[in-house]
Formats: sequence, structure tokens, C-alpha cells
Amino acid sequence: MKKIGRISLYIILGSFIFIQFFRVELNTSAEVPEHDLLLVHPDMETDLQQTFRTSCYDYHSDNTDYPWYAHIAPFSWVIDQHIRNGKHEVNYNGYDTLGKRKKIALLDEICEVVSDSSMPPANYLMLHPEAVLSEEDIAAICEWTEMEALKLLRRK
Amino acid sequence: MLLPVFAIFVFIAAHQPTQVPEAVSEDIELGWPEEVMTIFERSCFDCHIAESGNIKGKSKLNFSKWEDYKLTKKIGKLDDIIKEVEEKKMPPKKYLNDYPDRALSDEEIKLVSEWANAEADKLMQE
Repeated sequence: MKKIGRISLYIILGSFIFIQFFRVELNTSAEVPEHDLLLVHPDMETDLQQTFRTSCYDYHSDNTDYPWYAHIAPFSWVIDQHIRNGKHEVNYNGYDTLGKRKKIALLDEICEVVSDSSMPPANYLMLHPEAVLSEEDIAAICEWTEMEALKLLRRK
Repeated sequence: MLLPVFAIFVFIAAHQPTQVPEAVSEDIELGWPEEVMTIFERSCFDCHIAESGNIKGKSKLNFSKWEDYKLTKKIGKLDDIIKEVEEKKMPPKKYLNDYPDRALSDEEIKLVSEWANAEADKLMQE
């Protein structure tokens, strides 16, 4: 019985070490993101810029600020999948490559998803309490996105 | 004497099948082309009108409240509709498992997205 226990422990440990060889490519980029949302809006308040960086940019840009456990499989795989999904929805580094209509749609969606608490996702917030948005943060985001969307709309 | 009649009445009332609401009973008039509306009614309204029980669905898009949406939101939602139907994320697979006949054909996807595209462009000019 004792032997079986020890063998299973070895198997578990062995598999854990084995899966570490399946690395994922990290989401980091050295390039200057010239089309980045924050870069093309230098007039945006610093606090709001920081909110975007802290609460959105890990999954919606080309640079994720990885926590230590993100390098360990199987967490690395899950995180990699989340980043892929996030960037498929929106990558703020490419904001300015979007057409006017896409920008308006995105700005509207940003306010909507932070207001209904679907973003940032609950599982992300569990591990990143600093990314939780306060009522004031949400109000500031929506005020800016609405203003910007209207500005785009008026620009014929 | 009335008691048996009353009893029968109660019996009938209790054994009526549960009322299953029709997929659409709400009349939504948005002035959109009929062929587009027919698709929306058949494939989208179950979750995207005010009387739907799908809280998440109608919070994302509620056709009953369309006229209350701000112009930028209308544009955003039209843009979303194109993306969702073209990527076949909507109607969701789970829903289509229960109602396979509510899937959008390729022609319907094209019809909806071309209409939404034109409508969004029109709103952009307002």
C-alpha cells in the first residue's frame, strides 16, 4: 500500500515536471506601439491611463505583466489562452488602426463591459485585486469613452 | 349544487398545460426591412427583447430598447451584430441545439450583415 502511494507520488511529480517542457510563447513585445490607445491620446488624464494599464492591458495589449505563477504549467497554458481570447476581442496597441466606426463601437463596448462588471473578468480580479475598478474609475472610463465616441462621430 | 361545477372548473384550471409563450409576442416597430426583421424575430428575439427571461442576452442587446440607445451605442450594436453573426457566435450553439431550425443560413448572414453595415454607415452620417 505504501509502495503504491509512493509510486503515484512519483508519477504525479514526474508529470508535473514533464509538462513544464511545454512552454508557451510569452506575450511581450519590444516594439513601440505607435497605434496604441494611450499613445494616441496623450491628453488623457494620467489616472485614467493608469487604470487602462492596470485593469485592461494584461490581456488586451502586446505586453502582459506576468505574475510568477504564469510561468508554471498548467497555469501558463490557461493564461496564454486568456490572452489570446482577450487580444482577439481588442488589442489596445492597435487601436488607431481601427476605422472610425470600429472605434466608436469599441468605445461604446468598453463603457458597457466595465459598467456591467463583465470586465475585468472575476477570475482575473481574484488574482489581481489591484485591477478592480471603483465606481469612480468606471465613471471616468465612461465619461472619456462617450466623449471620444461623440468626437469621432462629429468628425466627418 | 354549484360545488361539483366549481370542482370541475378548478380541475380544468389546474390541468391546463403550462402556457408556453410564443417565441415573439412583442411588437417591435423599428422601420427595418421586413426580411431582416423576420430573421431577428425568428433567431434573436428569444433572448434579445424586453420580455425575454435571458437577463444576459437582453443586457447585451435589447431590441425593445433600441430607440432609447444613444447614437454611438446603436452604431456599436450594429457593428457587434455583424461580428457575431459572421463569426457564427450568435445564435449560440447551445440554443441551436434546441432549435436547429433557427440557425442563420449563409444567405441570411450575408443579408443581416450587409443591412447592418449600411444602417451603421447611415447612422454615422447623422
